[in-house]
Amino acid sequence: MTSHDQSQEVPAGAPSAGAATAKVPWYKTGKFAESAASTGFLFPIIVVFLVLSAVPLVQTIYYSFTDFNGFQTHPNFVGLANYQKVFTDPSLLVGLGFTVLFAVSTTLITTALAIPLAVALNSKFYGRSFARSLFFFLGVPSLIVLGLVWQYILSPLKTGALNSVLISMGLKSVPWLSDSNLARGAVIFVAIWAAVGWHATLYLAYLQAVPKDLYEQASVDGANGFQQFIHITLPQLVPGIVVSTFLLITNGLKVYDLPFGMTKGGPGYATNTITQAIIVQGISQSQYGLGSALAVLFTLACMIVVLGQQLLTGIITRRFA
Amino acid sequence: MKFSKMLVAAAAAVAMVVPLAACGGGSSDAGKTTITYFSWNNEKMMSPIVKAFEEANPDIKVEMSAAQGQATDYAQTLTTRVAGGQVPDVFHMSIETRNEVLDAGLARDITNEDFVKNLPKSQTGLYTRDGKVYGMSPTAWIGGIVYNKDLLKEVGYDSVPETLDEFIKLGKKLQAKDITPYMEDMSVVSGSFQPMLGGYYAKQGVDTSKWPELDEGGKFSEQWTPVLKQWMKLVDSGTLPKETVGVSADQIKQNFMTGQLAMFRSGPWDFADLDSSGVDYGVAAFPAVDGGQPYVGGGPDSPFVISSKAEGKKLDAAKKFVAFMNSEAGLKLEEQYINQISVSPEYKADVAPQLKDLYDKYITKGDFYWSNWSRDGNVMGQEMASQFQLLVQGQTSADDVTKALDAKWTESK
Repeated sequence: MTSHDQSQEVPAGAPSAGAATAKVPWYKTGKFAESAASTGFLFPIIVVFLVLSAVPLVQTIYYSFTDFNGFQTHPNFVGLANYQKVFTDPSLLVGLGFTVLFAVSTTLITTALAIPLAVALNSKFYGRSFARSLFFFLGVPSLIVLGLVWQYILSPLKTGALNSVLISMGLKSVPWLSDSNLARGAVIFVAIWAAVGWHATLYLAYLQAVPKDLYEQASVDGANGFQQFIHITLPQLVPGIVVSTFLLITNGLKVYDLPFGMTKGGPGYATNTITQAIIVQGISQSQYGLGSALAVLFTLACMIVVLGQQLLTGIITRRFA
Repeated sequence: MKFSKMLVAAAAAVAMVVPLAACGGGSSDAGKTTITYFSWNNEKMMSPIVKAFEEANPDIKVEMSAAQGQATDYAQTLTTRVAGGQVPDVFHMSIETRNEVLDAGLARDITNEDFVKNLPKSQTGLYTRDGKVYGMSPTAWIGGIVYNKDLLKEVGYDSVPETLDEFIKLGKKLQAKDITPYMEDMSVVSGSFQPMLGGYYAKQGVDTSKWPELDEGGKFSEQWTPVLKQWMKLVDSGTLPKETVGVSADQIKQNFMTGQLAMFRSGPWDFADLDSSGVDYGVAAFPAVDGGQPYVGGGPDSPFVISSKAEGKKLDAAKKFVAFMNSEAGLKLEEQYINQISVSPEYKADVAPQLKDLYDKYITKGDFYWSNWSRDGNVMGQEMASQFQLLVQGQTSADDVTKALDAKWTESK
């Protein structure tokens, strides 16, 4: 007989039973033991979090108020000088602008393309499995490798892969990576190209969980394909959209490898990103103080953006629930 | 059953421990003094030299590591290692990290060591502070214009002209034949502007106290602008195509090796690849701007530094290692495997035939230049590269570039 069964045998409101229960110390109750066991399982990850995330974060905050250059043992306190520099350095402001542009545009365009692609891949056609694999594998290689490959494809020289094709068609070569605006566009294009298949696969998983009878009922009611997409598919995909856009916005904000592989942040600072600035200016240029200030501000900005995104998707989820 | 479980557990334990034991090094290293060396050159280039040193010094083992990529990658890795308390026993300083390394007291004073006493001042001056020498560089590097002899012959030239205006005329003739005249890696500090500036400084007799990069009061807007305006003629004439921005150093080299590019800025570090391509090439100095003279890019190679933390047997071993690098045996190997040019009295350089002319006409006379930033070299190098990219794109002017450099220089103080 379990303890639960025993408690049921005690008459309700019997004072002796109540007193006996009250005398049991809190730490001897089953709930505490269960809670302690759960906490025990969390202990390793808490240690990992403290060592790998919390301690470095505190150190970063400390360094952001110093002139630490990576070589000193006793850096000097410089107050808010590093933070002031972040907001006045033109290269960092350009980097901030491109990071926001990259994160927002890749999130919106990837989502806009991935959902219809998922719907297409969910329909029956010859070679469907191959097509699904093909789109998924675009996102598998490392972004730095993709960056280097696309650097060759989009080379602004006449001998560049894409320019050779254009010239063979009687068109002029295009300075893909040597013009600031084109370079920005090229980096965003490659990021979307690499991400759209992976996110379509994510949506595909959600699509396969949509009950078929919803579409059958809609058909009976006379809804056409577009109406079914708007009124059934999209609302059913809201949980997937929440996950996908969260991943896209966070990956977009911390992007480093793709622009670095394709353009090294150039021309000028056109495709410089905040993460790249943290690494290049903070570590490569031995300005750990400045890099730390940038990292602290970037962490705060990310928290605000992600919280905003969560609030927005929460509202949308409730609307379609 | 219990016995078999114990047997399995014991076997698993042995399987885990054996690989760990292998990490501890074999018995052949027992009794040896081990030093750590963080190489400036990649492991493939440096391994034969380290191996030769170990053979000559069987009681010393060198644990070598190397950074991949450019000078900034080396600086980044070194900074990370220093921050983590893992200072190598022997490493390299560079112009970019010189002040940080010396300020932090990471380099040992080697003024009175025999392996540094015999070097000319041009090799030690950059790494001397308050009369004490902290770096040993027995070799120098040269950068020039590598040109395709056959392509130049097609337009009636035997070599690269010595003035900028003539060079641009050559560029136009090459363009008329649909050949790209000249390119250089624009992701780093311009390899052509620097020697042109050096040639201008030399011809005009500009005193070093007015060189802005030395931080003694000179201004970029005053000293660099006249040369930069002339350098821009390369871009305006199409001799240096605007598309160069956004093209990697490897792509430039490949274009040269496939005969689509007539000239590019390079040096001995590319000779192995160029030789394998079969292109008949030569190396020339950079042309003179108005008021300047032909010059080459160059300077002491990144020097060897002994860590101030090395002590006892490790220190002795580190000194032997650095001394080997300035010995006849070591310098011969450095020439053979890294294409470095000895300027040490220990060994007279047997310069590659392609470089012979440049070496005799410029290096031996000291007609070479490279900006040696007195501080914040990485910051200024990056700013210079970015500003030049914008200039080539037409998004800024020569005046604005030098003003931006002045602002960055002042701000980084």
